[in-house]
Amino acid sequence: MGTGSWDYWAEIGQGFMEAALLLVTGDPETWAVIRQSLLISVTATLASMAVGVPLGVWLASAKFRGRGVLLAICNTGFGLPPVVVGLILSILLLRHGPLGALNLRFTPSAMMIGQFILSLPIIIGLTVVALQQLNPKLRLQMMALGASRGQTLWLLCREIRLPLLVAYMAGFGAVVSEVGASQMLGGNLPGTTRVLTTAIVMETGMGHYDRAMAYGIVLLLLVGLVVGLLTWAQQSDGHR
Amino acid sequence: MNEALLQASGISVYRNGRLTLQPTDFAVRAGEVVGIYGPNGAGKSTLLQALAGFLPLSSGTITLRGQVLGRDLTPFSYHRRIAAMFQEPLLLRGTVAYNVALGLALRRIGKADRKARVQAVLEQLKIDHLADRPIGMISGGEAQRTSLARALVLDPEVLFLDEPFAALDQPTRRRLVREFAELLRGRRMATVFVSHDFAEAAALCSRCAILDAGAILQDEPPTRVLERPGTSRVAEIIGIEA
Repeated sequence: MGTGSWDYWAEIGQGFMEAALLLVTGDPETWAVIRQSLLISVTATLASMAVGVPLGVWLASAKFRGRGVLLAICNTGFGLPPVVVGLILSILLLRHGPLGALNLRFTPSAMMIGQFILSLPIIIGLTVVALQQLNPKLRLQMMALGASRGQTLWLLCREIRLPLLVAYMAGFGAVVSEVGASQMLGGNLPGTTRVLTTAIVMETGMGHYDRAMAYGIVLLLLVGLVVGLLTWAQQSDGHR
Repeated sequence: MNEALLQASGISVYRNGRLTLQPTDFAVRAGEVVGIYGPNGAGKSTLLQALAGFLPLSSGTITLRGQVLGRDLTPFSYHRRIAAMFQEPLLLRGTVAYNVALGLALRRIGKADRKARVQAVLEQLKIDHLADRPIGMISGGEAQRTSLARALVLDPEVLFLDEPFAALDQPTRRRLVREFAELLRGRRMATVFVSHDFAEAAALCSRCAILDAGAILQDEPPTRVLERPGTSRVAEIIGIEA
């Protein structure tokens, strides 16, 4: 192994050490980025759940012309490129664009809207799949028990709560780790729209591998923690 | 003779572009257990689901205590006065007690009243020791008892049962039918019971409608049907020589 190669690995090791230090010492800049990432992605995914689950229930049960097309659009949304969503929303939010008056460009709200659009098809699609796994006679049984429409929706959601947790995990995982839309809609402004992914790109570009690695480790830990918690909830619930 | 508690007049059902239930009259009096028997595809479940208000009617009316479904009664308020049980238990995630209490909870019955009613019906069906057990940990027979308890606890004006014991093994089925017959005699609850087993229908019902190709061929007490089948087709359906 040459000296150059040795230096390379030493630098990587140094990066890990400094990353750990940044996290342990509670570096304010690092924690601000973590806080914004969580705030934006958790809010966006919760909003997607609030809209996507009732839409999924409706799509799974309604019979109308064009239902197949709507389902196909939702499934296509699983592979929706974040940069394209970022681009379209950026154009709409331009000062003279149709949504320019909202003055949302380069704000956390714009990023939330982008992440909401990205996670919505995932939530709808997984809700539809979960409901299609249920016995079709279950709705009849709810009716026979005297459940109102609202009570039926609640009971069905309760019945598919484990797949809904998976949907939340999938939606959150997709948006917390995307960079294209966040970069274009947020602009990576420190303290407001700088999130883990945009910060990683920026720090890597500037050669600050220690910070980039710190953010990378946090991102992995964050996704691991959320998914781990939900998986634990899923497993403990599965035994009931 | 008592006036009918549930009266269906000229009801018919089209499903998938086919007339699966021909215009039919059907009545159930208070305390009466009426069976619907026929071969596969005869339209037994269609008739039961139509009577229970689960299917849109192509013609005819259903009346409960003189109130016409769709005119004096909304489907929702109708369903709050009846109960139904199907071939599969269709239980929800949770414990046996949770499932049995579900219909009462949907009707916003107070917790104390709910608990007392659930306990009473669990004891009646001999599953009170299973109250706190998750439904994933009970047998098929116990699941069907739970499903039956969930329907009975509502004290419905009419109970609809769609082949409730069909998926069970023979010994469990025989035991449940025997116990259920006693239970129905004790409660005097108007019941409509679909079966593809004539002996089972005969054991439970005071009257039995023989159905074929969406039409009722004969509607009399089971012993009378056995003694004097109305047509050769009825004799063929119940498995005796005309």
